[in-house]
Parts: sequence; structure tokens; C-alpha cells
Amino acid sequence: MAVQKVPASYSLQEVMDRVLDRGIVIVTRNVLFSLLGLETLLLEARVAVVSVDTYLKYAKAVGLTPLDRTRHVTEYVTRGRETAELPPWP
Amino acid sequence: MGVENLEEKAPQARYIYAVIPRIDRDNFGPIGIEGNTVYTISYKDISAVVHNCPPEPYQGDEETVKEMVATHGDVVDAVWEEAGSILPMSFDVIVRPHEEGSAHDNVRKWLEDQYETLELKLDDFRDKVELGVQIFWDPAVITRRIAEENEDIRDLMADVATKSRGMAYFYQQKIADAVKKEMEAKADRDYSDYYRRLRAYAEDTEVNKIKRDKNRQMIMNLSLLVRRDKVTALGETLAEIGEQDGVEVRFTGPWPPYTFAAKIAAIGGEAEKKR
Repeated sequence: MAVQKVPASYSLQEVMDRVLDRGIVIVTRNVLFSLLGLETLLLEARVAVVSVDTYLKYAKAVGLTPLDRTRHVTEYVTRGRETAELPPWP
Repeated sequence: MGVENLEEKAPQARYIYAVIPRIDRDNFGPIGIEGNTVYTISYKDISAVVHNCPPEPYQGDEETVKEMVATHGDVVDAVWEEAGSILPMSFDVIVRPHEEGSAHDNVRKWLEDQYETLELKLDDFRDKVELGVQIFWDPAVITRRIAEENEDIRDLMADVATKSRGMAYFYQQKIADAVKKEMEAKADRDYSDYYRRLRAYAEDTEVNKIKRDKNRQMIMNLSLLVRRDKVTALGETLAEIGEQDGVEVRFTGPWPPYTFAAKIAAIGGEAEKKR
């Protein structure tokens, strides 16, 4: 079976996979709050926001492997929104 | 609208698409999510690519979000082309204001705090692209090949014809087990072989999870960070691999380095996550 010697153009799902699951998130002061694989850090207790609902919906829609930290992470996010001091990521 | 106006204008949070080397252009026009104007916030010779938004995450029904994620990808592609290097952000990273400073100030402060890492990586990623490589087996073809090529399995298959019904069942189980075992061994061998051959063209590699596929068995899912001038040579190696009977190769890109930007520990990447 042949393969093109230059990469094929990519599908929307592959874009989703990368844009949702990879890429940089923000870190400062080593206080990490994260949700579902999208990491984000408090900008000194000023928050960078990421959407839980959106990600959950999307993870499902694009068939991403379910993440095993869901409960833990959701707890972080809830607290993160209240801009509480968060423990470092274990 | 000038960037000065955009900086002052409400709403008060900033959606970040990427960090790029600073270029002359500081306004990319209304190409952002929901038609927002995409512009840059700079510190020294690096810039964050942003739009103004309310201080809450983007969400919506499936179609809406799909559209937004695709737009995020388009913006990253467009600025990457102009800037020559890029550190793409994940979807929905939004910086809010706080009592002591505007969102704009916070973004600039982040660039300042992380300047060394960001600048180093932007330099590192210049003229490199991310490529996705997935290798699949057609289980029917591979099983047949194994049955034909493996002597023990061939013998078992010859034996089964001479056996009674009860014994034939027992033999078929034995054959199935032997094929499964040999398939696993072959997958390991081929994986190592493919990895070694592909790694030679890459500056960095990342092994991704195997995904399920209805009709074919994925045996390898790699992201490779590759210099542009090596992409064709890599493609030729993949063509060789793909020429084998029952093997299929999927080769995608060139991608902005989403996977490799996410590995940068100091700014919240993979390594940080695992710590």
C-alpha cells in the first residue's frame, strides 16, 4: 500500500486532537491547575480559564481516550475558579 | 482598528492562540474565533497572539465548538506562516485581569517571566515542523502472512486436517494462540524497526497512544519534530514501510509543533504534568 512522500493534508479531527489535547498552557509560580489534560496555571492567583464542559464534550466527540484524572482535575478546577491557593500537581 | 485601541478596549480578558517571534505586523485582522480581531502583545522580541474576550471560557454545542477549535487551528497556521516559528497554545486558554493589573498586563508579564524559555524554544522550532505518523496493520493479511511464514504454525495447520473433530478444535485453539503470540512478537519487532528508522530523521519524537480503529490495527502513533529539509526523505522511508503487504501508513502535516510545545516543562507542558 502506497504512502505519499509528502504529508497529506489533515482532517478536522486531527486538528481537534492537537488543538484540544496539546499545545501550551500557562504556568507561573509552579501552581498548576489543570483540567482534563489542558493545563493552565494561575497567573499569581489571577486565573487563566479553560472550559471543562467544552473539553468533555469534545473529548467524546473526537474519540479521545478518556483521561484518568477526571475527578481529581475537576476538583482542582472548581477550586481554581475560586482562585484558591492550589497544591502543586502530584 | 489600531493595536493601541484594541489594548484598551473592553472586554477585559485575552484569549491566547500562540507565542511567536516578534514581527512587523501586529494586527492580523478579524480572523479569530467569532470574528474577533487577532493582534499581538509583545515583550522584547517575542509576541503573544491574542484577541479580546469576556473573562469566561468558550463553550457551546458540538458544532459551535468544532468551529471554534478549527478557527484556533487556522489562526495558528496563519501566524506561523508569517512568523516562521511558533509555540501554539491549547484551545481556550484565557487570561483574566485581576485587581493589580489588566489582562493585557498579565499576558505581557507572562511573556516577561517566561522570556528565556519561550525565546529559546522559538529559536529551536524555527524551520521545523511536526509530522504525525500512524502505522496500521490489516489483521487479516498479517495473520495470513504469519501463518504462511511461521514453521510451527504451518505444521500445526497441516496436523489439524488429520485430526478428529474434538482434536481439531483443540488444535485450532493452539493455532490461534500461536498466531496471537507471533503477532505480538512481530508487532514488537516491527515497532522497534520502524521507530529506529524514523527517529533518524527527527529532532525529537513523541509516542502517542494507540487509537482504536474498526478495520485495522494501529501499531504505531508517533509525532515527529522534523527539519523542513528532511520531510521528503522521511516520506520516502515511510513509503518503503507502506509498501509491505498488509501495512498502511498515515502521514500528516506539516503541523505547527503542538505536541512539542506541550512538552516544555517550564511553561506548563507534559513534563510538568508528570512531575
